[in-house]
Amino acid sequence: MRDFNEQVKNRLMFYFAVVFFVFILLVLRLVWIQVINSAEYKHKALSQRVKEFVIDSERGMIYDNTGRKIAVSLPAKTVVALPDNIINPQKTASELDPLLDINYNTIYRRITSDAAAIFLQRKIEDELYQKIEAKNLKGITFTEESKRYYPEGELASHILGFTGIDNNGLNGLELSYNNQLSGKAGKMIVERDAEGKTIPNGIRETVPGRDGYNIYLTIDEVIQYMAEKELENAEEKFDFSGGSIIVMDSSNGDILAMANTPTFNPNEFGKYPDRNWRNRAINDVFEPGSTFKIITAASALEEGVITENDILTDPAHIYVAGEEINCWSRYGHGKQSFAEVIKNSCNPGFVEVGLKMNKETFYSYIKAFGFGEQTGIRLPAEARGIIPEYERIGLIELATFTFGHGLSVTPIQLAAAISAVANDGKLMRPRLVKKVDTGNSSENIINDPEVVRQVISKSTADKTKELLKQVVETGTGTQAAIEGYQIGGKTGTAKHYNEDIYDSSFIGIVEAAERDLVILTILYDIKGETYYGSQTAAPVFRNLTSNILNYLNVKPDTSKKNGYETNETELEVPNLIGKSFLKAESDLRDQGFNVKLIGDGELVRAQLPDPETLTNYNSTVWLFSNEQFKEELLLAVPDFRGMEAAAAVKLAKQKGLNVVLDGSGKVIGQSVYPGKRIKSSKKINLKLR
Amino acid sequence: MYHSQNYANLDTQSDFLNESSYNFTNVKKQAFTIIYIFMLVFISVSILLYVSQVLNINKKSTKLLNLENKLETIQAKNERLEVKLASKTSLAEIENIAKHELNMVEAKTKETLVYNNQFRKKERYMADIPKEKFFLVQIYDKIIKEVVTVQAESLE
Repeated sequence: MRDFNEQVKNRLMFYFAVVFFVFILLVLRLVWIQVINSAEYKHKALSQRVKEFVIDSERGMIYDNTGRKIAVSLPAKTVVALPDNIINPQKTASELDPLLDINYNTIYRRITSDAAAIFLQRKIEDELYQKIEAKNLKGITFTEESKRYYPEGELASHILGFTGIDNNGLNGLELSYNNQLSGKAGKMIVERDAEGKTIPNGIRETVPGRDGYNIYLTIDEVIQYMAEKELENAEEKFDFSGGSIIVMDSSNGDILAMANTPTFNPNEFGKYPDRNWRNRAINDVFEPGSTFKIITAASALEEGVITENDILTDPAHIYVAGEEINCWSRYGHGKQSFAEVIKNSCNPGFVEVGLKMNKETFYSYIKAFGFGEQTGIRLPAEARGIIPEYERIGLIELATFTFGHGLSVTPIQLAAAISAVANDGKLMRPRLVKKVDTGNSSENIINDPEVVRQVISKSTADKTKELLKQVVETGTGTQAAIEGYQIGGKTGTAKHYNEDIYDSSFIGIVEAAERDLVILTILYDIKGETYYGSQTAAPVFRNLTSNILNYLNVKPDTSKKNGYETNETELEVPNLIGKSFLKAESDLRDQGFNVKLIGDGELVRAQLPDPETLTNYNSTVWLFSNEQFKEELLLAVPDFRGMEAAAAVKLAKQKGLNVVLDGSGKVIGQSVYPGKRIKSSKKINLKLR
Repeated sequence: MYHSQNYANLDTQSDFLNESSYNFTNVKKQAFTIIYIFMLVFISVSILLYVSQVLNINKKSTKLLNLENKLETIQAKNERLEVKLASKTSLAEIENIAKHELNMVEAKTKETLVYNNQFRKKERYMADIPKEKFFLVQIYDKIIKEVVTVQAESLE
């Protein structure tokens, strides 16, 4: 009995020892977990519950100058498949097939893949989200992303551009202002339960991001719409590949509208061909044609080589370095003042004026007006235009430049250059973005109007504007005239080489209250019988300008005197040879002449026209310090045929040419072919009958 | 060795309950009991209150989370509606409705009439009348007054 008790006692002791040992092990393990390795296990436990999310920053909005939103960001659902949770992939794929943009096979392949989660379609429309959500498909869930919307659709699409699926700007302002528009993503740490629901009072930490900055444009939504509408209307009337319209406030360089065709809807840009995305007003160049004559006229007037009253002749062509340059008019414009040359858009007249300036001077003006360099409007891929290198410009090139051929410019360059004429000679940098709103007024980025340079004087700019008004009133641009408004402008037609395709344009300066608007309309690659700028671009300009003036509440004023007035007075050129330059110049100016000095000497050695010549008031008298300079000057020979002897002699004298009459009556022949450029010393024999 | 005790002779008059040592111990015990019960109740109530507060906070937090989610949904909906409104009031949409739903057509000819409301109405002020004329008018008024006015005389 005693042994039995002892045995039981020993067994109990043994079991107790085992249990005790196990207990000690458990305690030690617990100490290992709870004390020594607590941090690791705590971290593991937390990481099971705590989820980290990236909070996408909201892309900044874009407003027009009236405060209307033209580009916004909205949350949109993305369809996500969790392949492990999908019970019947065939059924799920067939249910989603008619709803998503991807086909059955692609859906099936994706939802049966090894991935834990896979995107099926990103940033879907709300209506589609409601439809998929209603189906309550197992393993199909949604995540929220930000999507860019353009509420106005096609309006200003070339300016705004578009963003890609990851909200990065791919074109237009969305690309060039991407750094400002896209903010900085934030982070959020949330404690969630097994079902994925947020645990109330759990860990909830946020690293705040920064939303994108809002951008305020100079574009006026209404004017932009009008411009786009006019291009659309033009498409119905004319056969052309595309068009551009720019409306610019010359006083501050603000772009009020910039329209292009063909256009596209940035909400679904992928559905349009690449060529529709091009902002042709910025990215493409064209030959400006006669619209460039404004630059030639302003440069020549500023340099003093010509005045509006100087007499020029057009026998329908002019010879430069052996090449014949024709006028658009088959019969030429005959004898005309420079004001008439502008009004008639006479090519030989402009060539004659251009050649009076030397290459260096004219080239420097072309550069000063901003051609051949980017305007700095801050839109992607802005073209520089094509101005040949200085060394490669010969007489022919110089001559063709005067009427806008042989060089290429962008529409924005042309609009900015003509704005300089409208804005008292000051070239303004084109401005599209007025303000970048950072949310903190002291840190806002304000783009103030910027004067690039003073290109011509105010008096030259005013004179050029006046001369351009007569083009619209009685010249080649009458199709652009609107009753009651003061409009100056110039048409342009440039023919493509070896093709019957034309680029037609019209650029106008319109007085609108306290400022002048510059409106440029271009129609590219026009085919058919109607292709002149006066027939195509000018009517587009008129319709658009009329609507803009109405919208801006600029009332017509018929009381204002229209028309450029020519001074019919004739003056006799005095003899200035031997006089000092200073005295001669002051005497001539006192008498009402314009003076151009050639050479560095002190005394006048030669003059053009010769003394006692009867010529127009305010015409130019050239004074030379050396007879050689006069000798080198080449003068264009007019067509004397059909003129009375006295008239022929008078015209020859006014131009500085020497004629020898043979016979009496009217001129029936001349020894030098009209349009040829000869030295003043060479004599021209005129045959009269 | 038992001592016989005479219970009858016990001093029944002995009032041990009234002894000071007995009273003190008893009251102390009772006080402790009361304090103990009070503490128990207090702690229980505190725990209950704490638990209820925690539950309440959790409930409120859940409600707050739901409200936050709801607010986000409403804000998103509101933004979507704003965009929809902007699309519906865009110039292209207005033109589309005008042309295709209301069958309106664009005017082929336009005439702008300007009403000039800037002209000044010419008014004549007294000061505009020449001084001499003004003087004559005064005399004329006086004469007329004299002629027209009838003075009543008493019979006396």
